[in-house]
Amino acid sequence: MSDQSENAFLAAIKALSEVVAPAVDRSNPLATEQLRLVVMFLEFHLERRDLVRKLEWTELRISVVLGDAVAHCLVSHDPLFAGRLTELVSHGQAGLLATGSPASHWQALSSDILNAVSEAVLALAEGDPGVRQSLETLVLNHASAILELKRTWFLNFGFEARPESLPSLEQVFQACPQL
Amino acid sequence: MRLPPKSQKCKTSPIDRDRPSPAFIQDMRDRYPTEREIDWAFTRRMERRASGPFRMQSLEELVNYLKQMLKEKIKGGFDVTNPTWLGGGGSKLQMRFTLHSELPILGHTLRDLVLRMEPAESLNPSSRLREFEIIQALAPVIPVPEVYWVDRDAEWFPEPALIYSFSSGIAKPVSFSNKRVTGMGINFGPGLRRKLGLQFVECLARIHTFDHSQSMLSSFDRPQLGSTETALWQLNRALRGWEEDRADANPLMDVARNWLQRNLPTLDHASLIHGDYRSGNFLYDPKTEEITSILDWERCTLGDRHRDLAWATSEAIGHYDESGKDLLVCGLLPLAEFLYEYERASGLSVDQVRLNFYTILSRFQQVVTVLGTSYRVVHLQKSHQDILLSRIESAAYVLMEELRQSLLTAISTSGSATAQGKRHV
Repeated sequence: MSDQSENAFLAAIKALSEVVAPAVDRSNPLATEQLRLVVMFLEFHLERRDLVRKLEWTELRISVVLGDAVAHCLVSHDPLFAGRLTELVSHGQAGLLATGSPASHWQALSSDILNAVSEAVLALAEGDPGVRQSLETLVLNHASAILELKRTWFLNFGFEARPESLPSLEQVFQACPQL
Repeated sequence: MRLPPKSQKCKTSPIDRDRPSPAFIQDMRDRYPTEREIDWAFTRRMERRASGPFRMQSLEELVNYLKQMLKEKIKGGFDVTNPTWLGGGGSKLQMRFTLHSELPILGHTLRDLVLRMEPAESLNPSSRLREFEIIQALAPVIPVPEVYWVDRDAEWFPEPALIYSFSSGIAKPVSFSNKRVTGMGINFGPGLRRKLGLQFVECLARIHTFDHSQSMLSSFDRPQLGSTETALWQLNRALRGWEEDRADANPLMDVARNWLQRNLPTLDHASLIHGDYRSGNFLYDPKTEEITSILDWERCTLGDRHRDLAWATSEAIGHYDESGKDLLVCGLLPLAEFLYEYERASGLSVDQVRLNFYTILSRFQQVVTVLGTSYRVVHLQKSHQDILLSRIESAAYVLMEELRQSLLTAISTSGSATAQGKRHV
């Protein structure tokens, strides 16, 4: 059965660009700007729609790698917490293997890990300075992967001062950290 | 110190940010004390959050509200004509109009004015009264609109509003446009950027050296010199926004929070602070190449000058020069020249430790706005610019990378910097 959604996207873009836009009052900057943004979002999602699941899966993988590193970092400081975080990491790994899962399931697994890491960072705010610095540095280093993924994903939105410095989306997917 | 027990942690927070309870609102107020007027603005929006989406008023409706207010403000006859929408902003709803009125000596007068009204929730919970007061105070020293009336408590309008004069000028040249979003990465071109840049710095120096001790600033709290009060107010304002608005946990933001709380600097000189001082928030005359107005004062405060300096230096706001080597602050001047000219014009020093703190705080605040608050406003359909805010959310990752780099340097070099560093330029 053919996918009708691409046709729908293209038809919506065409209608807005060729029929609606010329009819919009040019003296209304809100209307003209918002119409342009609607078209931009439709084009963006048309281009990215086949990659959304890959994005969500990759985000979970990055969270799993972070969670695993944090669990190792804290295992001697708080073995109980590290054990629980390892459990969440295991759930995340299982989710990664379930490639047919809905993206919302991957989001939830990723969110559980990030919540746990956040709680650890906040709990150590006034804790042992050595452990804290190790954990904070680890979080900062691991954040580079998710930020590069997100910046590349949203590259066309025009916020990068040096867009040419970013790799392609495919390169970012391939370079995703491994456990 | 042990990490939190399982019963409390490692689970998604049960907080309902879409329908905040009175207990949650009070908890935020208790945990993150800040200036009284800012506390009022945050509390007001949270108490009204569950009331549903923002409904876009028509020009006709706004004119009717306006006339109701003017009946009480103007003695004698008046009329309102030519209402039109103004674009260029993601935060406030703006309508331009002509006010006809009869004045005792001048007779029939025409005034070109702007109504600036909040949506139900905006990118930045703020006070129209503060904008009114600071613009009025600074009118003698820098180009700003002339303020006329303020509706702090939405007595006449559906939301708080301010009325001031329309400022002529443009925010960016038409000949050097790029694909970046409004107000971000504006390229003024090599011929214009230095001339505007020096004026931009001069205006900032005048703002920061303005003697505000005699000004009517009833909606501002005055921070104590030698204390960390102003830094803490700023941080708490951002933390409150983050806790009230964010969608997800974010460990990088928590690392930033820890570092900021450990490194609050003291205040050596209390300046008026614009709060969002950057290209896109000033207008200039393309013929004379003179700045005609400094706009968008909603983040204004009394505090540390380094906050304005740090805010303006974000890579997301500036762009690189034609060689691709030098980042131009706000697309105007290289960083070293920007700071040098600022010191020369203001006579105030630039302290590297304070600048580092406020750089990290500024990026933190910017991420809170574009990732946290923007998400919540769009999610609840609270503004007239939801689609623009949805686009702005994607800027968060550029700003977070800047935040990450700054934190890596700060944590690896000091861990706990003192607040008494010296100037570096």
